[in-house]
Amino acid sequence: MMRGWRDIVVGLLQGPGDEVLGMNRRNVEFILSRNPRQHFAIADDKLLAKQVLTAAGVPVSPTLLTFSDFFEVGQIAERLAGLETFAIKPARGHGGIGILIVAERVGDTFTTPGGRRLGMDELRKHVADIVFGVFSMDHADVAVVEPRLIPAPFFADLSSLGLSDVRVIMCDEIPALAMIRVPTKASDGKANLHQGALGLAVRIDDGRIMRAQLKGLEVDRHPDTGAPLVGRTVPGWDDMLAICLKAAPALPLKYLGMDLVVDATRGPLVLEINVRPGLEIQNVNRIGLRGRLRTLGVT
Amino acid sequence: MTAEGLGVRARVWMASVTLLVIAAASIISRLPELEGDFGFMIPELVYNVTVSQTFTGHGDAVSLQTFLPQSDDRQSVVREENRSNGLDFDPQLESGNRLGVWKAGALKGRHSVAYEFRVRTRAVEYEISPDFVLGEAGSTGETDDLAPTDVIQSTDPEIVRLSDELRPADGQLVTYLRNVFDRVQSLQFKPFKGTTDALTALRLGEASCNGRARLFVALMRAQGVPARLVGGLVLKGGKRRTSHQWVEVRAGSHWVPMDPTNHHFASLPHNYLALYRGDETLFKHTQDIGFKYAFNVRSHLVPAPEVDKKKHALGLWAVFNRLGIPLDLLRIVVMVPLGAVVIVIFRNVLGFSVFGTFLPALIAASLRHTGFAMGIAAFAGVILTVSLVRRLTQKLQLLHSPQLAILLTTVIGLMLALAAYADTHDIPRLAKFTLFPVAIMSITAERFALMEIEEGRKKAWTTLLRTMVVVYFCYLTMTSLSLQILFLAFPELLLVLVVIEIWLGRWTGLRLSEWFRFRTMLGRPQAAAP
Repeated sequence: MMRGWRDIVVGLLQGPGDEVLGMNRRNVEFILSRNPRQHFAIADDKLLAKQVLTAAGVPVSPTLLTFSDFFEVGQIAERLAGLETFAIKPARGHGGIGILIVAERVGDTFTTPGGRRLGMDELRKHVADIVFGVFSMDHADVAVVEPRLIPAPFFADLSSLGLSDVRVIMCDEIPALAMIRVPTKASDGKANLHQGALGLAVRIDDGRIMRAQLKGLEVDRHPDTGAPLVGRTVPGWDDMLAICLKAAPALPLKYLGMDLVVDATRGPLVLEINVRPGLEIQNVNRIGLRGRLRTLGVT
Repeated sequence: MTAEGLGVRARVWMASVTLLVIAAASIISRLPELEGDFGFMIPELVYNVTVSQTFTGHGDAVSLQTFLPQSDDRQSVVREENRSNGLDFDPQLESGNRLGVWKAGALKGRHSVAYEFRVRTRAVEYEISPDFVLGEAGSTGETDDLAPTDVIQSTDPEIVRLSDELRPADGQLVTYLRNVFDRVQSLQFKPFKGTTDALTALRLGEASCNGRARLFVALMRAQGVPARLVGGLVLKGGKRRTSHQWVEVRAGSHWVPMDPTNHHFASLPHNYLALYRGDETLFKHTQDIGFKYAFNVRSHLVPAPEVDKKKHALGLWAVFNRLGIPLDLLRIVVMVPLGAVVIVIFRNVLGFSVFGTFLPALIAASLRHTGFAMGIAAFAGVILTVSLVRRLTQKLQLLHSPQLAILLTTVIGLMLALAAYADTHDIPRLAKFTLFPVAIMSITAERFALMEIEEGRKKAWTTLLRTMVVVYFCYLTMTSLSLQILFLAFPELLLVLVVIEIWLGRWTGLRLSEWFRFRTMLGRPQAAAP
């Protein structure tokens, strides 16, 4: 804590924080002026996003089923027949809430990657919650069933607890900052930095991992596995960048957080686009977005 | 900035200037109608006083009497209501005082009478001319205001000697008053309930208000200055049993008030209510009836009488006045936008995360009934209890809306329980907790519970604490009487608030919390990605 305040005092003495992008400036100068409100729906609705991206030739995770009303929820047993592993998501949820992943199915017993067992009733309740809008602060939503994605070897090595994703900040169709979010035991398998996921800074130019951060502190090894992190290069980074560059012009939103995953068989996919991408990526990279965008010629 | 950004900036300026011009024009256009008189802007503080007397009858005749307030140049009694509950009420005039007498033939059991009145008072301050001089020492006269009594021993040698010592050489009344005032003030204060006579007060060197007042009067009369006791109340909100006594001294054609107990020299603050003049007892009653009394005082703001005359010029105030919406409600409603500005500053400038968007302003508005400490404690208690219920219902796996409905019911239940508790323990302010926004509290409890589950106990508790801090600042701003008056008189100021919001809405600086969050990157030359 002492150290923290000293940093602030030093920071104030050395000049204002014109490198760092704060919440107010992000909202006013990037979100409000680059992301017209009428197009927010594309980011807020996974189904709509997938439709737009697919049309632009950007790979996304296929939709297996949707539940959009209580009638369909009632038929859950019949509709899920034949599906062994899958993920159920709210179309309008964000931050990973409301996502239920089934890693194994024996009859009507579903097991999550974390080992939690659910019966058909519990699954129905979850789908009903999604449809009812519990995870989307809305009173109607659609539950989307997608195949369970299996991380490609590099990502599987990073964490066996859940799916690591790659976040790229795109501004005016230019990739500005990137990171990988790796679930940990502490984050309960979720790729959310605030919940204790590991953040890896990825250099845009070559996909090299420059830094690793856990709950605000710099680390160089995975907290669960002890695997070294810094200095490795993300395989297929160019493909991921290419996907981002292909997706950006297709979207009417010009300040975005694009979330990608690399599936073992399907390769890189766009999982989600976020119109209000978080600012913690700056701490993970130790690079201020404001300064970075200025360097890239985006103002 | 992009070209579009410049456009936005120009629009922001235009909107701000337009709004300010409209506000200024509207205020200025109304100024002539106000005729340079802004007295209307100060709403009057009036007091509602209930004098209640209770007793137990034993089958015999019962009589109670107390003094009723009269209007004079510093207090005016606006409304009076007598609730005799079966006793005969007979108001009388007795040596200039108004006496209320309640009588009953044969009564059994517990009874009560209440006399309620609303009184408008003002502060007074006199300047005593140096032309007034004392007469011959010891020239005690015949009138009541100069004569010695058993308890005002103005002819006692000890009193006379002291009065001679305090008498200034030039014989000026004002100097003598000051000397006596200082001497009487120097007595030790003693919260003694009975009667202290002037001589005893002097000898003991200590007295409560009535002993001081008698000594003061005795010293005046000893030098031939007419003086009398005044009995009444110091008006403070709440239920009390304390009455007060002070003094009036004749200077020329005026009776000048003096309170040597509370240090008011030739002045009285607005919250003094005179009930009688002379050395009287406030309550007299039949013996052995278990007599009890209490004064219940509530203060209210009411529009100044000038408002009626200037209705046409006073926009909001007049409209609501005509609609019969109480000023008490209006003045807090008009403050909610200001509370919102406070919240925005906390959120966007300091980076304080709180529950609900405008929850703190609404809670602050509700707190005006309960007072800050009591209300915020009840609020936090309800949130915490309801969030416990939320955690319990988690086990039932309910759908969202029914879940919220259960929490709402719990909030209502708790409020009723608190009201019942407040009633049995006689905490009227706590009972006002039922005026809190129930739906908002249910949702806040839900958010608190979810935050505890999803983001950890620490985060939830800090957010609750921060919410309470913001509520406190909203409360301070919104209950400020001068700001309320200003906004009521000039609702155009709401446009100024909009301008402030516009600028806050375009403010792009780092939040205070972000200086901390990004501390390791501040002001440091960036290691640009090579």
